Amino acid sequence: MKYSTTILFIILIVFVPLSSIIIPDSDSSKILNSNLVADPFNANVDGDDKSFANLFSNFDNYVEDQIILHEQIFKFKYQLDYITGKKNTTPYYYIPELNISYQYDKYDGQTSDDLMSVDQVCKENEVDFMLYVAPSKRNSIPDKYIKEDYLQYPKEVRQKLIEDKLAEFECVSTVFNPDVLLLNDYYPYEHHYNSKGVYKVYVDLINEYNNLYNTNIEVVDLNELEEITVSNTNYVNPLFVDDVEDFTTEFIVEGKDSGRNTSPYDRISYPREGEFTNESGTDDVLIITDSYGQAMNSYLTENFHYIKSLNFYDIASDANIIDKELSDHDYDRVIVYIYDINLLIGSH
Amino acid sequence: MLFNSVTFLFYFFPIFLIFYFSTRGIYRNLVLLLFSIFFYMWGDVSYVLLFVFSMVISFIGGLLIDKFKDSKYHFWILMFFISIHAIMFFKLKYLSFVVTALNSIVNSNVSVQDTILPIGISFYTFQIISYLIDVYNNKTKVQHNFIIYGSYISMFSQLIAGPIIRYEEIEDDLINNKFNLERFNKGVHLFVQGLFLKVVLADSFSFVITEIQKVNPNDQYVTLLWLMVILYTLQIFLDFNGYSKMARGLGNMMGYEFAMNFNFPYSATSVSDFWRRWHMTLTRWFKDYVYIPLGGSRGSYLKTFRNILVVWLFTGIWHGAGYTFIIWGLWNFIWIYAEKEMKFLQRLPKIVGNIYTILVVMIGWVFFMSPDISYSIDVISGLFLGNGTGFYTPWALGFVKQYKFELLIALMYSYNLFGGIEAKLYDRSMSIVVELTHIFMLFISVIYIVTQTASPFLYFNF
Repeated sequence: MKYSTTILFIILIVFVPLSSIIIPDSDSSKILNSNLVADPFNANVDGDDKSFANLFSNFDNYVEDQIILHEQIFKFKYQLDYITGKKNTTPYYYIPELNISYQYDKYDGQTSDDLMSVDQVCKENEVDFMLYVAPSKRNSIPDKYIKEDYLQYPKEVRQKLIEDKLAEFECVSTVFNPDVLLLNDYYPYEHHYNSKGVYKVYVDLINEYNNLYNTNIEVVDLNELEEITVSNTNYVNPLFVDDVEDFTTEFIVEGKDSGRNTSPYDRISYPREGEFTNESGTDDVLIITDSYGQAMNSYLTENFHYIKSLNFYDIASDANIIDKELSDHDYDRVIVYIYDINLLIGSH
Repeated sequence: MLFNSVTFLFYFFPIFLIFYFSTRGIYRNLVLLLFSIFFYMWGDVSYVLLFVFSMVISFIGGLLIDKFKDSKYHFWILMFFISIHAIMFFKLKYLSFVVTALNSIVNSNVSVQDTILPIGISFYTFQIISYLIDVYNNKTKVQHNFIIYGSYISMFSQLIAGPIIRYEEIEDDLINNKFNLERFNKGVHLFVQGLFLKVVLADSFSFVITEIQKVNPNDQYVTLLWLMVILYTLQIFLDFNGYSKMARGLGNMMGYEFAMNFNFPYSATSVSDFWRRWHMTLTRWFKDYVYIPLGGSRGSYLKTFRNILVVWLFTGIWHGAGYTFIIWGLWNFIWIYAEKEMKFLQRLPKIVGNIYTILVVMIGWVFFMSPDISYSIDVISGLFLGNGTGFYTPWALGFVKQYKFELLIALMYSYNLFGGIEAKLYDRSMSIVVELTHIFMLFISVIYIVTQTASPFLYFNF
């Protein structure tokens, strides 16, 4: 027993590299790895840079992908995270050529079920339900959808998934533009430090709203909004440095009215949930979206008479919240905006 | 290349072990030297020539210092070779900072090309200087074989992050290295412990800290600021201690015995006690090569004050070229000097002393972790005076809940509540529980390594 850790250690450091050479990849691994660095000695990470540093970097990537039972290890780690309560942690494979992230199954289809409930409640209260689906920068796909038939048509995989799912919402006024969904760079700046992406979503949403309900709402001119300059980027996550030019001329998107303020991001470019009124608007809407979608609130408040903004997670935590809202206020429409397909297809 | 990377663990290290243990004598040293240079290249190709140059020049320096030990130039030869390394170290680590500081003081516009700090330069430069001084003082024999000397300076196990080892400590093992099963076994256990501390605990906290840091401290909730500082306090210990343990473990596997670098510093009951337990090889280096040569505490009141101040200023700037590190050094100086003058601070009841120490150390880490002084002030004022954002947010509890197991283990480990597992490694009747625990730690660590891109080691930049 005394040397058992040492024996295991030796077996591990000898067996793992040998096995990755000897044991062939599984079919699914082949599919997943086919787009990763195939040959570390010929592939370049940074353009034409064939330096030693690049070679070493490629080798690191290569060996990480060649580890035996790679997929099983990821699944195990995911289960471990789930058991220990890290519900927001998700392991990803990024598959560059498909421009999607491969994400292991999450644990419920809560949002999908919630949407069906919202649909039902709206019908009972005779309120229009508009489901607006738009693409996003985040393209993760749960593993149950990563099948060869999808991988054969990688560019259509997200569209296909959404179309399949939307078929379940036949009676809902669903706004879904499959063409823009395929444009991976359509909303490239969506993160909590920049709301430009969501402005584009907002413009599309208002246009679709006008089409659906024969209204004539004018979109807010972006130039009329107050512009702020962020002089100190020291505290910006390096992840966003690439977008720094857009970051430095960001637009204030905080809600005009005070609401719940539970997020640590609230003070950056994060909107607040809450109620907003504007006498010049006509329609009263209940909007349900997530944190990114709430960035639209400051634009929407310019267009609607009354807005109540809820987060998806409010619905998840209180099944009766929609019912209560519709009883308390006479809404014209309920708008659900989804940009992350995982919210729709049930991985979140 | 980090010890917690797939490349190191499953490719570099096993291949190294095969070559290392299939050779003997000087060839074993040669294998160690070549693999170490390759290891260095992997992390920093651009400075490998500088690194080799440092080894060669200090090797020659040692020979000349020894050869002219009876000469009147003996001291100046030592100074010459120390100066070469000190100048290289200064140029690469501090020149840009000093010039920028002078520019702002005298309102000039002198420009200096920014350089990337060579990996491990702070550690190997200190080892080189200690070797040269020890040869000068006849505390160690000069090494006439470059392969043996080179394998001491470049030894990959402690090259990039210490511990700072003295030549005399491992001289016998360098010259007459033998495979020692007991030592190898202990090394594996130490390595596994270190791996677990680094990849499972420290890196987990790093995620939360990064999330909290995304928001300007003036706009952050007080509870999240406290959580950030507490987690950073744990992270820097687990990260650095974990890496030091891995280094010692690798050293053991190769047949060497490195000095301990940490002795449960967070269970200290005074700041002085903390520094006897934290980064012990660096503290020892400053004591032996700066504090004592300056006269230690044997001189006048003013001289002692000066000596302690110099040591802590150097300790601060050793960690980085920035005002925050200087303030961090001064912060430690203030408390250590206060404890020297007000003895009661070192004789507080254990619990009170520990709380006082942890608070002082935590505030020190705020300076250490901050990009600039204004950030430090914002964090500290937020911690103690609050800000307009508010005190509590459910996110704080959410983070704690997500990492409850890691936090619990980290706190228990930091306070040495696991009953000195390390001490049991020396016990021939190592218990089954310890073995099974280490197997579990190895298993979990490998899972984390494979599923995470290796997180940079915090002390990498020092």
